[in-house]
Amino acid sequence: MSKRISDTEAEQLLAGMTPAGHPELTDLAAAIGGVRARAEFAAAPVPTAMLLARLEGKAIVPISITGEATVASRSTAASLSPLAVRRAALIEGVRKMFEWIAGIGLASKITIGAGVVLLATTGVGAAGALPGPAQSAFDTIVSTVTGTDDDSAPYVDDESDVDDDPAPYVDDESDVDDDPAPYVEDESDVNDDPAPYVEDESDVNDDPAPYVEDESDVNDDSAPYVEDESDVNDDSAPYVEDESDSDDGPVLYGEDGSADED
Amino acid sequence: MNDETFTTVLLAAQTGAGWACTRLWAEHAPAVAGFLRARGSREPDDLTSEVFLVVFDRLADFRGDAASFRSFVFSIAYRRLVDELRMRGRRGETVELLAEEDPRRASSAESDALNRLATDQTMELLRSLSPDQRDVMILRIVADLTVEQVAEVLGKRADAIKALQRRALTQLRKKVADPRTPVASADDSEK
Repeated sequence: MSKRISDTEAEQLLAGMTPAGHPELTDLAAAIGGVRARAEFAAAPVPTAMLLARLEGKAIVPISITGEATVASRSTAASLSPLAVRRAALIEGVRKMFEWIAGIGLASKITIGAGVVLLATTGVGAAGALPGPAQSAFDTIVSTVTGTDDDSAPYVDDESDVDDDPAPYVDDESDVDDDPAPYVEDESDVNDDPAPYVEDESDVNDDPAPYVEDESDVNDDSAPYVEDESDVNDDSAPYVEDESDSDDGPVLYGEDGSADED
Repeated sequence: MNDETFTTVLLAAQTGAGWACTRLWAEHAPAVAGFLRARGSREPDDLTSEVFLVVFDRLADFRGDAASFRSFVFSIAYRRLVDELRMRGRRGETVELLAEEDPRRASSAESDALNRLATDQTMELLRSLSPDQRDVMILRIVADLTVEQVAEVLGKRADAIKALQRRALTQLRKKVADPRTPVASADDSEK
């Protein structure tokens, strides 16, 4: 009973046969034979839906990213049309890309995502296909970076921002004013009314002229703007130079910066 | 399926032919399901399908004959089973309460007789073995693998497999000779 089972006897037992000289193993051999027979004639289980699709041949033929069929699938790939091969290669490439993205870290995904958005925006912006304000901002950035000025404004001073408006002049150290409202002086409140500008400590100018300079005389003329370290003048009226004695007539500001005085 | 037929079926399955995949499934799925069931899988049929999805995914890289393919299939099945047992051990066991399995219900003599007939005493005996011995015995009996194939599936040496099956048969012989020997717990999921 305590006799050691040899490898040969073990093989016989596992095959469901009783080893010679071991009648005590008959029951065990019969039991193992019964299990073996039952496993042998068992039916296949019901496959899941995903496996069933695979068994019905709906799976993609494995083809490499270059469009070349793998060793195992060359015979089938040879019978496929070139279009089908390219399509399968494209699908496989997209699948591999998503697998790669899924495998990288969160920080890398954020970096890549930002890069893709930047590239896409740059491409669309260069094509001029962005929405109005976005395209304007894009053009401003591109102009600032590249230093080009494609505006139709006749003059833009040094160290001044790009002015997209057709206003003739943007002075040094001034901000761009895109509003069509008349000029509003620095350190003054914004005047949203269409009424002309009213300067601090200055008298109200009832004339339609949009701007009256600080400590300057009221200009009754229709010249809209006289600047002292001036800001943007959106009006189409020509420029009047700083600290120059202004006549009642308009002083034109030339391209060379000199005032055309009478 | 002889080796020549197997080669033809394998090549067709590697190109995605549904009929060939179905043939491989029909040939090996019953043994895989039986192995998974005997080793304590809660959903052996579903797990068998998962095993074959992996098999078909990796089929393009497989090279070998029918015996190698059987080892290949059961290697995947064994790894998936270990994953399930490990996951079950981490989550804790959840058992559905079935009225017919409620031990508080009084059973009739007829149902007792049916239960006795339905009980597979050999499987009960196999479940009383240690996990290593049980793996070897089920792979040898239910999956019909050779010692070398079992060694490949379990990642052990053939000598170790032979030693495990000798000890397992000795245990079974004792239990068959003395059925009063208590049967150990069959649950070997990792705690």
